[in-house]
Amino acid sequence: MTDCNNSMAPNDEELLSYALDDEPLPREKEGHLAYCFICQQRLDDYKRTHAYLLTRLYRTQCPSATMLNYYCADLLAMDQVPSIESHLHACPLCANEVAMIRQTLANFDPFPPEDEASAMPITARHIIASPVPQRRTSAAARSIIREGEWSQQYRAEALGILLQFSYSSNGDNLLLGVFSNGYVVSETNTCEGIVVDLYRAVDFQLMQGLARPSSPSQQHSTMPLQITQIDDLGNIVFNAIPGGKYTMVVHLPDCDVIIEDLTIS
Amino acid sequence: MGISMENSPREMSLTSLAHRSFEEMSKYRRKEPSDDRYCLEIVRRAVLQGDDEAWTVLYRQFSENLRLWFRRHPWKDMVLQYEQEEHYVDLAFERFWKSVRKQELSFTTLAAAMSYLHMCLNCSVMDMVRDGTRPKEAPLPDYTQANAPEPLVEDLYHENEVWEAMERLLPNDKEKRLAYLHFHCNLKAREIMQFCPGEFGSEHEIYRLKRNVIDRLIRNKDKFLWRLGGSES
Repeated sequence: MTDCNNSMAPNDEELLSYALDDEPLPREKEGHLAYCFICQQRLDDYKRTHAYLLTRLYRTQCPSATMLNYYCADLLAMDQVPSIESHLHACPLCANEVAMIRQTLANFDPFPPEDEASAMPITARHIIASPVPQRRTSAAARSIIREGEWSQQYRAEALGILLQFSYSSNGDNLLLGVFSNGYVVSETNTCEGIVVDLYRAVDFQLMQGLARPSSPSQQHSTMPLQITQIDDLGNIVFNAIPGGKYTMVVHLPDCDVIIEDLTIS
Repeated sequence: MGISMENSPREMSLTSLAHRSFEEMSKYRRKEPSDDRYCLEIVRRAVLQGDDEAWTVLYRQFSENLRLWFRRHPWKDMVLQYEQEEHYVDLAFERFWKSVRKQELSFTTLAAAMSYLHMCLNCSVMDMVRDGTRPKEAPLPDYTQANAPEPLVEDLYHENEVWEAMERLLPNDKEKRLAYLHFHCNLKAREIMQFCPGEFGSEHEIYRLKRNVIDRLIRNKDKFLWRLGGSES
């Protein structure tokens, strides 16, 4: 590199601290740098060499995150431990990561207390599905519907839902659902893969803070009774559901649709 | 009077298994004696057997734990600037699935399975921090030739080779150490003083050594830069 002989030229250390560590230059030297081609070339050489070597060498010798976690959890093979320990003596970045891993292991609680936000597994925006008024069922149709069976259509914005409760040939009860997105017409159902939960109504109300436990010892589940996903044809099936009142939650990407007052006899 | 015999977990339907698993997890949460077999059977079906429905149950059963663990992670704020919470939960599950399947791990306790899942979350967070702090790709410096050919980085470059070549060019341990902290760890002079106390006398000494290192590398570019993929002729 050519050196600049101007007395205002920053020396190498000043230029390095300016180029690599963003340290300020004295004002007169910054002024010199603004017009001196030689110093600008020196600065550029330092910056580019540094940047290039950094991209080629940055953390290339470091063990993976998995290896460090295994090391901290004593899951690493004995013959791998010395090389990790030797690296930890040399590398402040990995030493810092190991300190963090040890901290999280020491504080690990499989069931940490739920905070306010996590006590509401339902997303912030939720829509209550509205039942669609049904036409009167003909006498012929009524004769083939067994006692307790029902079907009901719902709508929640663009989502159309048909729920049908019936019995299988072996007597198990079945809650079937058909989902359609009214704004999109395509060969595959756009609802495919969406998770649908079925909660006991009382559990759902307690979880949402809409009801209080009848006694301090009353246990309630924050887990759905059953979980399923909408298939490629837009269908879901819940089977062998115990009698009672239920709430269904459909987890759309941007909101949850809630279907209330489902009675299984 | 009949004796009620419950099926072994392997013979149970997924629905029954999910119920029992939830009940037993509730006991475990309350630190009461609990039976881990139901939950472990769900893990086995979901991961080792590749049962999608079991995977859905597993996801629902543990996703809340993962969210809570994430919210208590010391590096949570650092990684939330790149992706949302759900991303890390999904990554942890994906890593769990791959690792357990690849190594054919079988857990004997629920605690072990949960610890492993927690470790997967930790790895996902750490990987994101590493990716986020990785310097952007920089082109090969060209000190003299305006029209140097494009480097064949993929063909010629190997990190260990580059590192070994650099070490050979640096005459003393202090310069090697400085090059390591500088190019491998990307530490600034102030950070080197902070993280490696006693190794260097002052920031001034660090800059002096840095200048020596960079000048030496540039002077020896013919011996060194070809290893980085340049074609200096």
